[in-house]
Amino acid sequence: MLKSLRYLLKLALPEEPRYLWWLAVSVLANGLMPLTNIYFPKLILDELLGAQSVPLMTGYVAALAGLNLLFGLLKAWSRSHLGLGTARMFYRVNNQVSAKAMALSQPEGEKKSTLDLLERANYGAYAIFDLDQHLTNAGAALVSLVGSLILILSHDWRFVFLAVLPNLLALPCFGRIKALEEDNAKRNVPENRAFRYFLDVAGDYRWAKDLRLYKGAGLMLDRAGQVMDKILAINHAFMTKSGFFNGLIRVIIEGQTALIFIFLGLALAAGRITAGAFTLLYGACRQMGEAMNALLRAGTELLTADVNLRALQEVMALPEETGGEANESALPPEVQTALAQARAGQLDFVMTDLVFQYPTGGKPVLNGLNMRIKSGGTLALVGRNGAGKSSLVKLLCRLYAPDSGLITLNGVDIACIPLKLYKRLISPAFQDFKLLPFRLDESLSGRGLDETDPEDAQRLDAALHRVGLGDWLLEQPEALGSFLTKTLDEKGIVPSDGQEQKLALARSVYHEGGFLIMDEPTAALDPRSEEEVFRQMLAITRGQTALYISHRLSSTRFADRILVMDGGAILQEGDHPALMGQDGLYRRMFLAQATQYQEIT
Amino acid sequence: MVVPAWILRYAGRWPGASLIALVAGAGLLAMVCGFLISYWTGNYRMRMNGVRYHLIRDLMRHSLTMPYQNTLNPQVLADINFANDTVANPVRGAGGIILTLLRLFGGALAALGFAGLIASLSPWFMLGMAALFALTYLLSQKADALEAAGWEKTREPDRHWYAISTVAKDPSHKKDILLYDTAPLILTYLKNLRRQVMKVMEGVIQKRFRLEMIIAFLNLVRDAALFAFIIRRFLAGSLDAGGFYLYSAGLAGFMTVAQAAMTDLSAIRREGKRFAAYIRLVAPDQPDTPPEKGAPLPEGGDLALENLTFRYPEADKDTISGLSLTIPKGQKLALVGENGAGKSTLIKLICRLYRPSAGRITLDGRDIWDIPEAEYFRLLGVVFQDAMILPFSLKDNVLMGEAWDEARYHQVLKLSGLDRIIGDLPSGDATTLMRVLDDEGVELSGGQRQALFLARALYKDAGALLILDEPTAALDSLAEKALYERYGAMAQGKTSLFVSHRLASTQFCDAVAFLKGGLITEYGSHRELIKQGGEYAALFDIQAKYYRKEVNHA
Repeated sequence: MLKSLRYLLKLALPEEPRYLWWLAVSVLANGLMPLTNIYFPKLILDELLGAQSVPLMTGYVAALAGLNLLFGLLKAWSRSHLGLGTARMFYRVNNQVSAKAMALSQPEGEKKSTLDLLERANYGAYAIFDLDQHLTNAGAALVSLVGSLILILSHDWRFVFLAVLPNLLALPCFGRIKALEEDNAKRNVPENRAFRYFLDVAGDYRWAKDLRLYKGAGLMLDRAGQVMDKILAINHAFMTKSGFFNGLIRVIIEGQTALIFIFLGLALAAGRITAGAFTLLYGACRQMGEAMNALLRAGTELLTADVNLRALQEVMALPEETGGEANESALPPEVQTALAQARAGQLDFVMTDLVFQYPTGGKPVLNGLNMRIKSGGTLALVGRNGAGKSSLVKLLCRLYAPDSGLITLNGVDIACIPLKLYKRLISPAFQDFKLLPFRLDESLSGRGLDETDPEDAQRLDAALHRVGLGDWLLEQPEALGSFLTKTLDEKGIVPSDGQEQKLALARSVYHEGGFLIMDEPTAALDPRSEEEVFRQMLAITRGQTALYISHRLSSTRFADRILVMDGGAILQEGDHPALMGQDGLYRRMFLAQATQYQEIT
Repeated sequence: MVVPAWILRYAGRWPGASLIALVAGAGLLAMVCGFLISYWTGNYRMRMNGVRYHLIRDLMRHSLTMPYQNTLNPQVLADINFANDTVANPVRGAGGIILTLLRLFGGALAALGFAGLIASLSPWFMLGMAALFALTYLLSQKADALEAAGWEKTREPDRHWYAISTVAKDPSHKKDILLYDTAPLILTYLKNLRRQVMKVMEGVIQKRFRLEMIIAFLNLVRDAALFAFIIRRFLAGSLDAGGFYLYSAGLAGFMTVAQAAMTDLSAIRREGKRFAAYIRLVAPDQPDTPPEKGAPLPEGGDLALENLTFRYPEADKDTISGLSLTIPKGQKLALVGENGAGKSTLIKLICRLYRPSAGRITLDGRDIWDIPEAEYFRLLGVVFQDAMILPFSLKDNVLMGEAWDEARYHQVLKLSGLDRIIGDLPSGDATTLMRVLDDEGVELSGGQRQALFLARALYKDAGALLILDEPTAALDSLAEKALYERYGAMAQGKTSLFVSHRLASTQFCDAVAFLKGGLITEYGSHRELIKQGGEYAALFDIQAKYYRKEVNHA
């Protein structure tokens, strides 16, 4: 059980080296305080029933009050530090999870099991929040348990049978509670995710229109009710069961206390112990019972935390995208040559017999695809919905590896090129691209302010001008310092679809990868913006290697070469006039659009 | 507590058997109570959650059904957020109240018992102790308030931190993060925000610690006073060993229990305030439409936009400014214009989602805002650009809560082209979409989604008004053409509005309205507008020119 706790501390302690000290102070202060309040009254009562020395009793009272003050101060002090330490730990661990999530490869990050694990790790991180409290409670209970045991046993060692043995009976109950807890945590994951989804939908107004115009709200509420009922049923059964076992443990503890009383009372009646000793032993036994209870509660809480923390540990153990850093000079000479050529703008890709199917299932999307991308040319990829165009882009970006077949760059298998170096060669704009909600310059350059210099700002400015956003930039009050969207800044810019598309293009231009990939860059644009974007793209990519995907065949016709994809393979290839000369899919697709524009001359 | 005092007092005088009976009895009682407390806490917790879930659902209902225009009002959204905090968090708000209520009764009872015990020793002493307690309580209240204020101040950086953490873990951001290597930048933001939050907290905790120090000193006074008092009583002979024990332990007991009860009480007050906000928001939920005037209009009629004006809250100019247009019943109208011309806003106005700032929209002569919401919505079949897929079965997504009509369902599947897509799905139209509720759920592609939205809009039985906003953006050219060819059949007998950047679409419509700067600047049939040679013609030409000569050759 302590494994995940140890792991957590290992993860978080480097930043909180004194966390354990504070915890120790907190445990001692919380554990010893009740013992003080048992021990000194006994001394005072003995003195009252005995010599009645006022100075001595004054001393006892002073010691009692003084120790209480000391422990009180230590409690408050350690609590402050633990509170801060906990908060720091929470953010730190969460940030580490975020870092991990970002470092996962595309297939790993899309896996259902990964998403579930991240969801559970989210709970795990929140478990940190009460951890100091539970650890303090458990530790303090242990201290006062041991202390009261010492007080009891030092009086009569035979009490050990009464004080310790019955507790062993409670152990199996503990085991059951732990098993229940684990079972419950697993069962709850999908339901909790569903629950969160419904909460998010209610608070996300993007879809408010659809839910109102259709009877979506009722449907949503209905299903949310079903999920909630299911969660309640799962948890109700669990809580009731674990409540039962907790109750059993309480019975054992209370029974034990009663037994001890009987023995103590009999001893007092028989005159074997003094009244002072009786209060001490009574107090100690009571404290022991309470400590056991507290230990039980803290133990249960720690068990819950442990289950969630384990998810945290599992997330951190997921494999990251490999091939990040590399010592370039140690690479095979042919790879070095290929890289050098690529950096000089020479990028020849050859794809041979590519077969690919998404790890999440479904039909194969690429079926023995063969094609070439020649350096310095613009290539258009066209085809029907679902032909596999976007998937091909993902393979080219090495987000996925093909199931079989080979992609080479300048004659070298791209898998042999260190990923980090490879990524610098390509500048993709995905169909569903995302820009970050940071400052414009940060969002486009992908680097923080402290890492950029005036020259970068100039390059960014130039990139924005090239995509036709130069005037737009001048309108923004904070220029490149404006935040994109209102996520982090209420005065942030909310770009229109067209502007956002151009921003993505500017990012690709700034990135200066030798190979530009644009997947459906104009789907959301009006005719004028569409033409603008394409004109700019053609100008930008003149002499550069570039790949476009678009359903607007009037835009792709100017590409040096057009590839027509169908069913996961290349069906036709050639320039526009050549393809129009063939009676094939391309001609059909082009005419389907073109005839719509014919009537008017 | 009382049991040992009795033992101390009577141990010498009672026979052993009755002593055993007394303790055994007390022990048994404790065992039963202990068991029941544990058991019922477990059992009660989820019943309590049941209540809470009910409240969550009520809030969901409120959020999902309040006037759409409210989504533009940041205050309303903040209120909902706040109310959501009240019910979403198991230990705050409603949950907090229910949780602490259980404890409070027990705690208050115990505190009263202890107070009575001490008062029986000396009412004056009890009063002094009570004053001391009150002081301690006030200080700890202040400490809590301080901390709460601190958390309040961390809310903004914490919210930002949370938003960025979500981006970092969002699979849809993954491709861009990996390819553009933005993880370090994102982490820098996360770390800076963490630092901001911690800085606030450090200040707060320091202040809190000072208050707690004062409390510790007050406790010193309490301890010294108590023992001085009972020692003196004992020496004066008015207290025996049992009494000494009772009071020395009793006071500590009182302090603990009373403190806990007061904390619980103030928690209930605090959470009560939150909950009151919730009730204010959710309770007055009633249909927002004015009472029905006249008969409902199931068949629709001419749709007239009269001097229509709309301005977004806090915008400095109108998005729609005095627009007038009549869409005769049964007309197929194409609405075109550049990005940002106001097309989407106009659609929302026609859909009765936004209330016009000035002017009005009438259907068959009646202001649409005088028609009950449900009645009007029944007439609309709308496909928005960014429509929503629900994580339920495909069939549910088409029906959207409408009554089942097999013939219409199959007709609609055919018209929208969804029938061919269903054929490829593992469980046909019973296949769950998205993977939120079902691990085996299916993610539809852009083209497939469009077909689904279309089917949904067509399925509505009373759909007298069909509105399609960019239905072809994600379609390949063959699918686009197929849609145009079926459009006539889809719009049969309906008034329809087609919004598209693909200007070829206008040729299947009876009229074209060109929107610019919140006004209709050109209106007529496609041919008329081309002949007119205005902005529409220019825009059309841009799109057409690279297609045209080709076909003449071909």
